[in-house]
Amino acid sequence: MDLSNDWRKFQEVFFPTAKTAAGAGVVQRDVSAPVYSVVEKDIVVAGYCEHEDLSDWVGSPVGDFKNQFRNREIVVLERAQVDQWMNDGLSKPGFHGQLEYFRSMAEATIKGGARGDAKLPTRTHFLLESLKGWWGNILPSAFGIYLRLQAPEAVGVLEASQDILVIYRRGALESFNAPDLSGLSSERRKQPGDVVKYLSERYLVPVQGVYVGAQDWARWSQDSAPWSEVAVALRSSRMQLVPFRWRVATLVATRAFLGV
Amino acid sequence: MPGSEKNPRPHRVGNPPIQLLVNYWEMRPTAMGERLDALMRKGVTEVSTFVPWQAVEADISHLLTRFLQAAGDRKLGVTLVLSPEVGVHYPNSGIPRDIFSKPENTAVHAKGSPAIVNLPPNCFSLPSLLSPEFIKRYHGFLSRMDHFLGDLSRKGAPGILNRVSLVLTGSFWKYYRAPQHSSLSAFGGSAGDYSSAAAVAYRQRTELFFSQREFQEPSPTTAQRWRSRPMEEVNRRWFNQQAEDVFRVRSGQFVRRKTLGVRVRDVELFTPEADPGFSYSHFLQNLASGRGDFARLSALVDEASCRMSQVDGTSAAPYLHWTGLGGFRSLPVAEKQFLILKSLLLMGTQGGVQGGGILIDEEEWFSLSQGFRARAEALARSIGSGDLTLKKRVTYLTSHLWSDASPLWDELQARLISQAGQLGQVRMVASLDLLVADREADLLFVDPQYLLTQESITKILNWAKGGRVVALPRSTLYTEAARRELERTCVSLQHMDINLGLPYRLFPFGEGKLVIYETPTAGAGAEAQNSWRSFVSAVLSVAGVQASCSVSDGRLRTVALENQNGGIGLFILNGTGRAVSADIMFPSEVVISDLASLLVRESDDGASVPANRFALEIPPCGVLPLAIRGNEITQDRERRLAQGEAEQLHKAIASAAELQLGELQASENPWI
Repeated sequence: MDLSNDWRKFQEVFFPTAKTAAGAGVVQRDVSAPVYSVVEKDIVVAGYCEHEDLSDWVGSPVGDFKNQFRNREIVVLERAQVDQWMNDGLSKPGFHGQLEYFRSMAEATIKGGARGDAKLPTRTHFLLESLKGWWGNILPSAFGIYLRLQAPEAVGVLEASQDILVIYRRGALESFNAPDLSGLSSERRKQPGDVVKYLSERYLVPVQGVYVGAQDWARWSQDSAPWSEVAVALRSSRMQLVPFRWRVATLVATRAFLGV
Repeated sequence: MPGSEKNPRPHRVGNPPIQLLVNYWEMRPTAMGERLDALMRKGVTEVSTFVPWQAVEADISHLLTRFLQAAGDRKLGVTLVLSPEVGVHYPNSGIPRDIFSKPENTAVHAKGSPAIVNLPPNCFSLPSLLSPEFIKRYHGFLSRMDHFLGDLSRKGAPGILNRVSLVLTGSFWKYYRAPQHSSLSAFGGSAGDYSSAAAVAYRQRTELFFSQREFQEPSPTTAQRWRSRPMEEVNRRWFNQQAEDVFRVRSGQFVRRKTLGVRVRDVELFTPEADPGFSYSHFLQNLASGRGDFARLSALVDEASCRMSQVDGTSAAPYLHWTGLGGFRSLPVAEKQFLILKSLLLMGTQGGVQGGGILIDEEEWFSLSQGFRARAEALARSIGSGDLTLKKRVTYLTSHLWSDASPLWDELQARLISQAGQLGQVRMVASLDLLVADREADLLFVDPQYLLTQESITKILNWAKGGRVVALPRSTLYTEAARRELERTCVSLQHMDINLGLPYRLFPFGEGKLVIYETPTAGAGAEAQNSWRSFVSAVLSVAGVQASCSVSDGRLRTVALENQNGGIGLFILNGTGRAVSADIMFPSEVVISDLASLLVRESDDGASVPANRFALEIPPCGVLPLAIRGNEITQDRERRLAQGEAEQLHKAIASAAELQLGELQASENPWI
């Protein structure tokens, strides 16, 4: 059975942690990291800051909390609002769509606050962010991206490699999973062109294959703007577009040139 | 158990403390055999899988049959988790979508909103387990599974189900909690389903319950008192607990009809990442795309490990589920390892043969280093073989396991965990049957909101006679018969009145003691808190409950396990991100050695010289295992063993007497 939204695979590919990320052991707190909180009637109901234990602040007055972290970016959300968003988010399809909704609502709340220009301090993935942005105006209304992260040759072989197919429709991420290639012979599975053609026919959307080394991908995924590195990898054939489409290559190059 | 070696003393066959989750529906049929072979090459001998209800209804390719066949061919043990649960990697946790289309099927928590689980693959609101439609369809699903397994055992390959066991979990009951309460205190506020379906069931069951003769004494109008509005909260809690108990017993009956030969186990599965107490934290973590909140998850493990549920009078094995879907996945390795060891120590060591452990996603497990896995497996083997057991010294009887208890409970926890730093010393139960079967505890606190009938008073008093201490509240929640029973017992006893802020009366009772305490008036603030504190300290002292050791740094926690080979296995846990240097103090001289090497080599050549204070340094997120030996520890253990044996002897004599003198009631027998 195909899972149309394989969350584990999605996280593994786009938000790698543990072994692949730097600092797999205990990570010390970052004294400038943004602080998030949910409050109700001027009392902190929940607090969050990456690598920092804020549990002692739960039940404290919001004023004291803000004062303590006055040198940091603080996001304060009302409990009733958060509950309402979670309730409304139930109608959105899939966790990714729900998350996007929560972020948009939180961002709108911050913008409506004292700091009108503020953005929600959040970590994003460079590729997902681009596909969500103005690339959507250039790319077809429905398309798929087949990512194959190839393990270093020394480690060897196919099992260590991993792949994911993400499908966008009307600018929204529709599905993400490890595609079923069992319909292909083992010989054809080794041919990137055959794989991408098979996926396009099976999922009825144009598919852009991206073949890249797992280590390169993991490094880029930790970076918010790795486009110049991506462009270099494309030029030096460390990354392969299958089929090679000038339009996609130009998009990569443009981002690399603009430095974002 | 993953990679298990030959166990010299198999103690918990079929329910190892570390269960690996390998969901059958996530495998491609063509790659199923290959995947299982790969697991076996890694030393896996048993796997667990959820069986999502929707996956069964849509299983046109007979994936489950293929999976069981493939596992059977490889002699791989399989545990099928049947109940609807949270943290399942399936849309809506596997509940059929059409159930959600009707608002009357949705559960509502005490604050009037739907109970939402915000874990991938999608946030969804929990259905009401009291909705007639849900129940009807769920029982249909269980019957279908029962038929399916019955057919498979008759028509499938011989022995296909030999290594298959079924697990029924506590399902959604403990997740019917308001996140705003649970964020402040994990099991804060009233838990339970407050939907319209639940309201109907509540009215029916309370009506039936209070129509019993005992509640109509001394006059039939007395029954109105129990149904009055001030009793609403007490009754709701009683109802929620009773509804859960009935649900679990009924579910068990549905899968025990045709599946003869397949073992059915009752488990309490805690999924901290889906807990309402983690809801806002997880929400904020997702907004920030950050790592999980380690401190919050760790605190939830502490809370979950204190609660022991039951099914039909037997404890449900507590398991901690680390999903790989929520906050746990993104933690640094050291924090993951800490949580795994902590949950293994606190869950795996409870309940003897029924004992619990952890359920962890197979990929998460194998992402950890081989060295760590070997250490965890060695610990799991010691726990599984019964070498290391956790003896909970204090029991707290409450009316509803998932709701908040009185300040007495908070003070008890503060005294044992925050001050003494000891985890796993106290457990909360909501069943008298569990209490009666409890031979570990020395002390029982009865919650002031607990409804006491004649039967419950009799059971509690009998339990106290065996050399234990019972603290009973003086409240209005006694039936007339219960009050008479207690008065009849106490009238002939000498007593001592003590008032250290909270007045109580102490009675010597058989070999034990009875404490009847007044409850402070609500809203008395710090004064009431101090009263509770003094009272808890005094009663712990009366019962002789004291920490086996203490640590000089409040950031450290200890878990003391009884080692069947003598002494105690002491685990010192540092849940902070920094190394902590501290002294560990014992009441008498002991020798300490490395428990890990003792368990492997069964010799403690590296033992220290006898002392009662040792300086230690615990690494960040470290768990330090120590073997402790000393005269007092041995004597204490021997005393407890003798007490347990004496009690068993008493019971054996009582049952023999009952057989011989059938007409003689147990309570009338002056020798028991």
